Amino acid sequence: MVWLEIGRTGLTALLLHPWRSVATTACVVAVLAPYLTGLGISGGLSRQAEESLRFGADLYVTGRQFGRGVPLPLDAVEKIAAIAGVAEVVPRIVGPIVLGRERHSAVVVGVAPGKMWDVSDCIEGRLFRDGGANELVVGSALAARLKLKVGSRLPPFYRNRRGERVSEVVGIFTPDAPLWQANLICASFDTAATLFDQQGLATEVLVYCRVGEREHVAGSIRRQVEWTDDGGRRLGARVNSRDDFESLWASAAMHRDGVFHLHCVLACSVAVLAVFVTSGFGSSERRREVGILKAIGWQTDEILLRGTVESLLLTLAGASLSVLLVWGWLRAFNGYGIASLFLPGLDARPGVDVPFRLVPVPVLLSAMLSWVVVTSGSLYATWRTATTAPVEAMR
Amino acid sequence: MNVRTPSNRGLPMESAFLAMVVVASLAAALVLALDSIGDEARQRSSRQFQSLLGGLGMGSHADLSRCPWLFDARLAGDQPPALEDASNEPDGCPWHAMSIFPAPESYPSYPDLGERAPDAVDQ
Repeated sequence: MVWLEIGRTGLTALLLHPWRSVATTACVVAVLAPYLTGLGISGGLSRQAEESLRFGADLYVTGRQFGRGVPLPLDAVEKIAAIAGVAEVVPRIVGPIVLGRERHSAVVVGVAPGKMWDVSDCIEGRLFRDGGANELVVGSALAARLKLKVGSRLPPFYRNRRGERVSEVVGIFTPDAPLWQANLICASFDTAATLFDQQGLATEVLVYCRVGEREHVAGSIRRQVEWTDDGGRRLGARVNSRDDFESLWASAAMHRDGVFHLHCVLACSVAVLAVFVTSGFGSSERRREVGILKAIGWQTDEILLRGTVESLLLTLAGASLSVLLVWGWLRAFNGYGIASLFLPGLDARPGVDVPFRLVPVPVLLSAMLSWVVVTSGSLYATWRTATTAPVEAMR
Repeated sequence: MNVRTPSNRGLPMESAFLAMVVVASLAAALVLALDSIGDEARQRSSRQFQSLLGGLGMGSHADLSRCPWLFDARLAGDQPPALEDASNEPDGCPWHAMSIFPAPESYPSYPDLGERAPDAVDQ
């Protein structure tokens, strides 16, 4: 109970020096808030990337010439579909395009019509129809930038030797769809080919395999799918599997997360110095306070306990404020003004829900680290004063 | 010497401050708990989007104008960004260096991913 009473004086000490407490809490928030922001956005992005891999194709096949990736002729679809173990083959076009006078960057994706997709949760409006030429589904950020709505018509924004047409926006992706819909223009395969004025080619072919057949199909594609024309030009097929990307993502995530954490540790070490200055190094009033406590019989360890409790409360306040500030800014205000720093391609007001996920364990660890920072900054000064003779401390 | 004592400030101040810290901590714990709960609507939207497009997006960029790798490594394949072509060095892309988020490994490691000998695949 004595220790509890001593600890309670730590709370009193906070209120005796309010500006010092505010400054120390501000230091904690200044270090923790950017870290939690990066951590949260990284967590949300990782989750979306994992879903992209999980719900994507089993194999991604591109052409290969001079050892580099090139588009594939469309007859690759039939060649690949004929391989045993293949469930479905879908050609896809993906490429960048620039729109408007302000040259807004967009990504065109053309997918071949096939099965009926249920897109009611990710598209406001409807999907393009099989035979519908120049029907576009636009990303939410791009739609906001160009002030497009469902039913809007776009004047020709591409060049085609056969002529250009007005395009119609038949759908807009919902803001809670993944990040990469932000600047997307999704259309049928034929429309995308028309936009790029490239017929008979696909940038990649998506292959869905039967269970357990992925490796076999990948090997067969590498061996069997190639072209040699009369001029001797040879085009091969390059196959990347979903497993390869999943392991790549996992190792890259660990590497980059480690670099991010290292930067934050460096920031925390600077914060120790900041707290050291604000904690009362040279503050005569605190020195006199400790001197008085020593004079009336307090021991050094009791004074240090008081200082530790004070640091703990400051850390708790700073860490809680940081979590609430970051969560509010990224959830309630959708990362206004800062999302574009972490996610290039978005505006200051992102037109898409910023991917964000705060996991409890890293947040708790960062709170503990900030407690170490605050304690390191303040405890040394307190100990120095506590080990000085009371007469000297009270001068 | 003017020494401020707790009695000058009164007990309610301490209780109020302690209550504020406790409430803030509980609120922070609550938002962390809420964030941990799965968001079904978002997951459905994500599943439909990825199923429609066959899997699109892996990186922190929202378009292809800067670095295709940081939009989706599956698109770039083994083709390095233009700057790496010029510098003939892997990881020369400034967008990789600036990004704090995971990016795909650069060009030299890609041949390890898909290029296996046909015989090895059949084993």
